Amino acid sequence: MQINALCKNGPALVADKPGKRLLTRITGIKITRQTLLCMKITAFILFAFCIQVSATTLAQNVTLSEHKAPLEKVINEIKRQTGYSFFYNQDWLQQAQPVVINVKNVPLNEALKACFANQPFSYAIVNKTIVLKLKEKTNPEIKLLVVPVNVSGKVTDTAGVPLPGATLRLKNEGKTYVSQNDGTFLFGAQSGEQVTVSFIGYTPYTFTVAENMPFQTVVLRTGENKLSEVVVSTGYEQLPLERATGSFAKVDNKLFNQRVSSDVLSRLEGNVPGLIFNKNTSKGANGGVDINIRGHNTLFSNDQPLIVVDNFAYDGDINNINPNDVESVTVLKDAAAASVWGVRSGNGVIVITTKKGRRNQPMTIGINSNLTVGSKPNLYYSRNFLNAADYIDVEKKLFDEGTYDYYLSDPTYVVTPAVRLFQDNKLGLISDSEVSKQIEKLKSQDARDDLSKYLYRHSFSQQYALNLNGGSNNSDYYLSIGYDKNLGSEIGVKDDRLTINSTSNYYPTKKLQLSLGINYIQNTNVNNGGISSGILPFPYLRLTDDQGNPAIVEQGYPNAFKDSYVQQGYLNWNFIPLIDRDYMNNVSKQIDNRFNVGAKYDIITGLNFNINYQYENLNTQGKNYNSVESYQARNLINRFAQIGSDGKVTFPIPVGGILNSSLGQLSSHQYRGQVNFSKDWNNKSQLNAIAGVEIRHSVSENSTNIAYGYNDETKTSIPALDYLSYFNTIPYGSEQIPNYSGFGKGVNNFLSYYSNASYVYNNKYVISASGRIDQSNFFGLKTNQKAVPLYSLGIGWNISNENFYNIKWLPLLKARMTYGYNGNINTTTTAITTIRDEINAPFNGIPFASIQNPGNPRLRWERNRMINLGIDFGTKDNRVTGSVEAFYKKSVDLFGNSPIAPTSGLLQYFGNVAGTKGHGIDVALNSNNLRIGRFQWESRLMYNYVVDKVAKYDVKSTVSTYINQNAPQSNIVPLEGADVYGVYSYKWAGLDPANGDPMGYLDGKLSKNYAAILASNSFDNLNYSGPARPRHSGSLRNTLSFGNLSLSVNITGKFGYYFRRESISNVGDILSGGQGNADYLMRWQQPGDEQHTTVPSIQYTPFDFDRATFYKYSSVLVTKGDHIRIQDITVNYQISRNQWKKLPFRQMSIYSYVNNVGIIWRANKLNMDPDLFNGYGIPPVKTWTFGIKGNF
Amino acid sequence: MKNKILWVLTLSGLLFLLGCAKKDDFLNEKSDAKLATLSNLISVEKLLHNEQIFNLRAIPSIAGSSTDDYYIQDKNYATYSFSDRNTYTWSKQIYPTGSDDYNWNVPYMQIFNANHALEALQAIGDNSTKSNILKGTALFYRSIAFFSLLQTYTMPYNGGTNDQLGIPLKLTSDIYEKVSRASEKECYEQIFKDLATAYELLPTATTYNTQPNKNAVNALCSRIYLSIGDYQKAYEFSDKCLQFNSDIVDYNTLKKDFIGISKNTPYPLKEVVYNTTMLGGTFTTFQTAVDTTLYKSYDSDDLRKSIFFTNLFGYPTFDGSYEFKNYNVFGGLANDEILLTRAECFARMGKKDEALADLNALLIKRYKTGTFTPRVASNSELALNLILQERRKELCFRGIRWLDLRRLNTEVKYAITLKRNITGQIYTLPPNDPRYALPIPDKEIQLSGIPQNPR
Repeated sequence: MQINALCKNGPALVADKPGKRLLTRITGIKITRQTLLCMKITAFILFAFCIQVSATTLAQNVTLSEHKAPLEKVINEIKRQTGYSFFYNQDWLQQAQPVVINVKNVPLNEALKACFANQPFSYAIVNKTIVLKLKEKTNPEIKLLVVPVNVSGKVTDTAGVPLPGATLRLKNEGKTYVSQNDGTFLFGAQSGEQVTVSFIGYTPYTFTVAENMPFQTVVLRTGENKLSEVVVSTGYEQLPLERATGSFAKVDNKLFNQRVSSDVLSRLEGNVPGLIFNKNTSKGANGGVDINIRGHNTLFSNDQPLIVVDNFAYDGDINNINPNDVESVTVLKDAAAASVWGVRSGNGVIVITTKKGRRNQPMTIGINSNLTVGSKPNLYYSRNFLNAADYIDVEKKLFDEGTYDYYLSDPTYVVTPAVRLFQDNKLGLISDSEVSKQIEKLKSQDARDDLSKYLYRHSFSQQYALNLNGGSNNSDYYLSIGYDKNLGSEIGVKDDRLTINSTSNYYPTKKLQLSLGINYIQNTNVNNGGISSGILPFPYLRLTDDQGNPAIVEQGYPNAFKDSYVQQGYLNWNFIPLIDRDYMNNVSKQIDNRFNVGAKYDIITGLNFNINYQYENLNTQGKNYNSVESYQARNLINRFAQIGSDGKVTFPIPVGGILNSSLGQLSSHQYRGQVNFSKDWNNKSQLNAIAGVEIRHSVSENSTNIAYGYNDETKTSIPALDYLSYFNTIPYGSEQIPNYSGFGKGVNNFLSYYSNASYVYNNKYVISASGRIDQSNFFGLKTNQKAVPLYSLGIGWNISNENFYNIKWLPLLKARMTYGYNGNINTTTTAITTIRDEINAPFNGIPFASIQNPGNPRLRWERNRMINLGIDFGTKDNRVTGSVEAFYKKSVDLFGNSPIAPTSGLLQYFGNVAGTKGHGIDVALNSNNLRIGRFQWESRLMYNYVVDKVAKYDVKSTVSTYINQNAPQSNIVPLEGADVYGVYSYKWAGLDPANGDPMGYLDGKLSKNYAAILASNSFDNLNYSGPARPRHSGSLRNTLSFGNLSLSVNITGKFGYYFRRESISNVGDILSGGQGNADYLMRWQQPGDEQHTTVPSIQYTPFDFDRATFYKYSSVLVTKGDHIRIQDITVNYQISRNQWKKLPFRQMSIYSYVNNVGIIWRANKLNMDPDLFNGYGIPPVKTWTFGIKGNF
Repeated sequence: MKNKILWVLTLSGLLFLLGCAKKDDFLNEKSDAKLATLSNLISVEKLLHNEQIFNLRAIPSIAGSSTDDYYIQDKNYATYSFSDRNTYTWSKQIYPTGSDDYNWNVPYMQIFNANHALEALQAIGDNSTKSNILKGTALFYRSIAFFSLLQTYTMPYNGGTNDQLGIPLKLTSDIYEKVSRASEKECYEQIFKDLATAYELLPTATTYNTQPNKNAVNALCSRIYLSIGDYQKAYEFSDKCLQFNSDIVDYNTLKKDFIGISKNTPYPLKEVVYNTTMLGGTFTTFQTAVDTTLYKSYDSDDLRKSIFFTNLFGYPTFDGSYEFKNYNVFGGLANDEILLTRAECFARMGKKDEALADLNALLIKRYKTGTFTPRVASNSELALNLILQERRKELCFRGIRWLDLRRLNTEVKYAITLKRNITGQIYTLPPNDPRYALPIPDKEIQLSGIPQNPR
């Protein structure tokens, strides 16, 4: 009805004069439309604006002149004039009386009063909606008998924010009331009446009317459990899950805030089925983000999900987004959900929706502040460590065998203190007793004590966030400021971040919405931790002397060697790690600015148009400064120093500080025009559709520079150095002065067309479709001209809405299925031939060029096909709700190497030739296990299963390439038919009982011919141990609450995968001053040991490296990664003004959070954490957070 | 106020959209500034200066490995690879099943690069002299690659009287383009056409002899015409070539090192017209024994005996490559070959005196000063015999022997049967045997489905 009324008004507005004029003027500019695709969009946008320009200002005053008009007509007229909408039951109008009214420019209220004077309705104005109520029929008899109770109260959310427009339904009378602007309500009802309060997005709440009812405070909780009320965001539109066919996973605000962190992504861990955090990969272990949604869908292209913040793809560093500004996160997992994002959706999409203000809302002030303290890192965890006593015994043995003679004869070679002692003793410089005394002392030392004491500390983080939000009648706003400061576990490592956000919407007319967002993020990282990696890490290293003073550590060259140069005039060459870090300053800064504007215009009811534009500018600046006092600078200056014939020392690298600096800038423009259409036919069927165009242009530029002789105070350096000459360097050789100057620039252009539509029939059947065409500057025009759309189709069936459905205990049951394609991109390839400049041609020394990338005009997007089958269900009273999804995926046109006929000029080319396939299951279950009075127990279970296989790959590598992978969880060596990430090994045949040699198989026969085993290229000798990434993973979160107090424990687990651990089979590592390995203690020493150990006898020189390689990559070191850990525990106490009237704030929580609690079960017997890189390194530190959060 | 905001929005949107101008330009923008493309003459020039592709180990050697320039000693035979042994014994199968072979790959890689250059030049559309020179250079590189493939993988050309299979004539850089084997006639026509164009475009002289000039085209043409027995044309081109430059190095001035010609020798040798080297193969390695008969045929005063050969391993091996910078075996074009070609053509045309004059002009530079007595012959046929003998001695280990074998086998009096003796086991290659066309590597047959040579 409302739609019809507005439709009639539509054309009149379009025909209005100012609009026409504007159109004429624009078309007067003669620009060929064919060449300017952009013009088409512009024309459309202009069209939309023309409409807007002509729209009249809405008045709050009304002019009505009717004589015996139907009420409906009057209502429509009021609607037209004021922009207010009406809310009533169509059937009631039959009881309406004809209206006689004649008012001119009177306030709305007066007009309404006049209209409804003689009507069987009363009315209330709620948030620009006029809600009609059928007047109760006066029945004097009953009135005398039962006196209605006055029910008054207020509806708020858990934060105490009033919820205007909440529906209060009386069960027996069938009446409904609506809460007012401030959330309050007042109505009369019979005692014993049941009132259900509901609001979209929240779980309904029911109370019973009793005599002498006090003021009711109804607190509604966000309804995460109920499918029908969850709204997800695709980045292009808001979509109620009820209408969706695809695979969406939503993390609402409550769940999002279960974890405490200064970044967004880590809060998703364990909260999204299908989203896996790979922590043991090269990237993940180095603090990077390495996540996968539903496994891996590519071989050599980008494998990270697309991150969308509000409407646009986010180009900056995701760690810059302040989680306190995030309202919710939706993860798009299948084709139907994600394919609207086209070629960047192949790895799934994470859509982050930030907080917004709400109209007609008094200002709310939100605060959040917390402190996090971390435990000291556990350096004693790693098995890559051999205690000093055993270590020195090995050194002694090696020394006695003369193994060090060669090294000791080289004055530039650094040996450990023990070896130096043995040598001094041998030379007679030190007595036997003194040696044994000093050796005993060394044996009692543990390097980890000093490292732990002087290099690490308790981490300490502070987080402060403040936001203001609210809205008036025609605008809303959200302003926030956040500050995070982290002091890392490593002394000298710290960062801080300032975020300022502002988003506001302005509604100049009912049809137009203008939005403006400005974000400013400033991030400073200081990394002056650790000690130089060139140091010998032997297990009895000391950083201090016996008095606790910083000690000189031998690094680079022996101190005696260095001293000989220092005496001639070189700079002091000592390395004192504990002082040295004061002379360095490695700082990187980021400033990320985002600016976006948008406009949305309702053309007619159900049809609107929006345009959005975002500009992002990300500046990064890195400065790595080593002052002249730093070892790094002194060492480089000394190495290049020259002694002249007169004995004078000259310094080609000027004596002064050294500054390495880098600058990066990324700027992107994103522009979108979109038409949204929705129509509802008599509540029977609904159509929702969007279509749009998106343009994206981003430019990244970077440069690096080095300054010598740099003085940080005066900011001066010595510019003219001789970078071309070769200088004789210490100890030998000649080098040019390092000159890290460079520049780079990348441009990334996309033009995309997309559309998405869904049709719902009778609330039972849903059909959805989406399509997108992407064109970019990566693949050249040939591919663009033949653009293949990425599309999806989906169907959904709300079984529980069928008339025949009568399973009482399962009131919600929905089945859905989707099919479609997502895409992925590989930016390393080009459609055009690129060449690489080279110098020094072999015959004539001339510069030349060679083909770097043979042009491949047929390059195209990688395509990921996914079929998704899902069931959503909810048992009675939402006791158990959840979804189970199965997916089948097949990726085609993946980039990979392929053989090609040599007449082409190539033997292999990198093109769209490979494929993978996979399948898996995602399960999400929520259950309310127990509710006794104020006690409540809820659980949330997630389970994922995923298998990824290489389906097509024409190039086979050698057997050893598959096996010799030190990080099989990070590197893909495709083998057709095998897991994408696989751990391969040499078959293990135990230890030789005679001498503890490792034994393997060669062509099925027991063998110790290591060289032959290693050289064998027979695939029969390739042993597959299992996948290197978890097949199964899951999490279980249990939340217990008692009144205002809640406790939540999150348990996560990963199963069905393997990693390659390290061990020791010769003392090569010890010989070179490494840390050794604890497996040494379990080595085979005498016949019989093979019964209880798999560590071979330890080899001394000469080493058989083939034996060591065989053992290193043998199946016995492939270890099961399965483990379960308690990830985090949260305790929250919440009080609100609803309960305690005198509180100065609406609501406040005090919370405590423990993260990285620890592993509670693991498959390996060695106490290793498989989430660390190959099980080594420093385990994540346990942190404790205390915080307070409130709303005023 | 409201209208102002809308105007600002509209205009900014419009400006942005105009900023992206043409859609094609927007989508063609270079994604990485560092990506260098063949978009200008300088980049094409650099591509054609790629000596690694066009000159270093650039000419197939597998045909040379099938000749009687050398032999493998019994004790060494087992150390050679499967393909090397099969090549040596002219087996039916040469390569391991499914494998490829660089003798086939490398010329096609040169063709690929040359085609890229030609297409880039067409796209640049510049008609400057420089552009023309580059086009001529690319055509020359492609032609010499086609020719060396023809000599290796097809039967000798009989003037196109029947449709003998040639090689795939790959004329575009499109890696997906499927090209089957053209007829030999088409192949030679393509080569002659391209070389005629190249001749027009190329300069008379180039700074580096790794890049072709007009004379390199003459020299190559004289070799090609000789190889197909067109002595008239061979004469014309060799004569044209020598008219321009007839430098012959006096071997008395050449210095010899422990291995190879001394690097103190002025480089490059003036005699070299176009410099390129052979791919590695059994016959190019230093350990390969020189054919005994060949070695014995040199007079003691013949400097070639000491310049070409050494006795490091207790038996004579070849170490006299004209390319002594990178220790590769010379496979290019030099005046000694052209002079001998002209001498042969003279002889075949009955011009005995001219023929002997050319022969003696060469040989006087090959003998110790004062020891050479000019060759004489009573008729042109005897002169031809002398010339062919000297050709055998002068042009060994240059990849030319195979061409000569194929050509001379068609004349009964010069035809010979090659023999190998491996620990008593005798292998033979009779004249005009189908095995004079080597098999195309398996991988090519499998992936492109072109017909294989019968063996």
